[in-house]
Amino acid sequence: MKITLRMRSISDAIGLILLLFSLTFILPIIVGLVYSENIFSIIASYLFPMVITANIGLILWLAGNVGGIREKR
Amino acid sequence: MACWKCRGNKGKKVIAAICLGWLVMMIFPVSAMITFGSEIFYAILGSILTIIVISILIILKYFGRNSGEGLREREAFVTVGIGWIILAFLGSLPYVFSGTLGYVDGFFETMSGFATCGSTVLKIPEGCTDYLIGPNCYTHSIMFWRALTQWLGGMGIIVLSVVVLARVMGAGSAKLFKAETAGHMVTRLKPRLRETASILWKIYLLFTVVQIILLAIAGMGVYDAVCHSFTSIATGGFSTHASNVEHYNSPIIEAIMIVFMLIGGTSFILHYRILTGKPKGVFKDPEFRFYMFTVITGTLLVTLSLIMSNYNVLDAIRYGTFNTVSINTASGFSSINFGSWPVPAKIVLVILMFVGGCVGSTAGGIKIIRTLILLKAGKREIKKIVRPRAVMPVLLGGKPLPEGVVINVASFFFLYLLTFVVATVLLSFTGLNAVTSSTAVATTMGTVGPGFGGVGPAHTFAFISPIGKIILSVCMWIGRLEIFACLILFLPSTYKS
Repeated sequence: MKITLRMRSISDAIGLILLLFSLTFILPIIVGLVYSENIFSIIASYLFPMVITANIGLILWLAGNVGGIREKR
Repeated sequence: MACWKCRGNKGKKVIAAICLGWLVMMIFPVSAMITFGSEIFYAILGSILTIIVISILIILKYFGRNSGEGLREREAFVTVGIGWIILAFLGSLPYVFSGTLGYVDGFFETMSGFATCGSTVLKIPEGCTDYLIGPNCYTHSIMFWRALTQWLGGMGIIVLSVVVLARVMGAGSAKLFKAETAGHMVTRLKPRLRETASILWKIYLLFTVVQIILLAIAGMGVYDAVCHSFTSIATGGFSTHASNVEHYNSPIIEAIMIVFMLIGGTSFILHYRILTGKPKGVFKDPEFRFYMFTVITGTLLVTLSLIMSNYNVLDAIRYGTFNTVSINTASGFSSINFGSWPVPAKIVLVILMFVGGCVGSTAGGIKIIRTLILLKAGKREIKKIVRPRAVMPVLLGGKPLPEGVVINVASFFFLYLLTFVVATVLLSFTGLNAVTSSTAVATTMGTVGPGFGGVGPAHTFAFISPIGKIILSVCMWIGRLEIFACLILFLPSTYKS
């Protein structure tokens, strides 16, 4: 079966959403700091998910855009 | 791969810079492995490997294809459908990495959050008296994250992306907005959908802030006020206490939450009209009138049922109103264990689980407008038996509805019931009884929260098997995205030209 979905557009859109979503992890980090929670626990619980989310978002966005960047050049 | 080779030096530099940045960011997980040792080693290693494998596969598959593509309707639906699953998976990482929940439980809890469902698998930790009270209790940040997922899911994380990233996303953002909000039924406030989405989020933020202030004044405490405001304007239902709103035993707090649950269950288009000084049309809106009718009728029936089973009249009014509004708006808060209420009250609540709130609100369920259209279409069909040759369009607010809308609503209703039946049967195979499995599916599809039987307000979903939790997570996903955005993923024609 030939897939005709525009996968690059989907990848681009999901990538952008994930990049935005990764920023929301900042809020529980602030709450954790306000309540003096263990800093390593905060890093493990929110900073790593934030980095992972941002990474996936970046990769998906790139997968949807690098071809376009090249053509613009 | 041919495109990879012909990319040129500039392209290679971009890729190299990104890879370097990616490697730098990986320092954090690696340092965590060294710091925490074997406890989270495998979880983080698994995540990193997954990212690497997925990214390589995607880059190899799609790198260098022709540009200039935009999102069409079908891609928008696929993006929203798949995007929600990815978001729920990534949103569950704080639960997993903090050791609060396992992968399946974390996914269930996050999906429940984003879908504003409120069904929970959290149990009071051993040695604790509440979620946040005791030596090994949950952290404030994790309970805040739980509330935040509901707040983000209430108006929609993708709608938020449309607001923030519309210029980057281009024309596709409007289609994403429609796909996440079942947009064919949402009125535009402004010519541009980005502006409409922006207004909706501003109103949402305004109500949240107002509720935080009111709940704090009513004696809830700022942290609890923030978390409960996040979850009640989103019609979510997560609480920072295991006994939910019953913990406070405060009629004032319950009254404030009733108002904001009702606001959350009302179309935000109507809120915009009221806030911009045009409240006249609001009370003429057929959906709002029917919404008020269901809330008042449901409350009266439940209250009457409680009075007949020897409840004090004031208590019956208080508990009846709060819990009926909570179920009708698909919030799922409970101020008492309504699982022990008399049968008529429980039947009314189950019916309201299906009905839900208004279109364009944060509530789930079939939605008021669809219920109203179905009732009117049913009435028309009965009339047609008497007058078979008469042309009788379904009227809504005095205006005839296109026949396509009626068919769309009837199809939605059928698919909703079909999904309910299939999911209930599947869930019953995991060993749950009829009441528990049927109300668990009804409550998750309606994004309500608690059901009856083993998943009543005094219980959690923790005891359900991992497969059962996955089935219910799918129900939440389907219920929140209103079926079509999910089922389109399973249609072969979606992937064909």
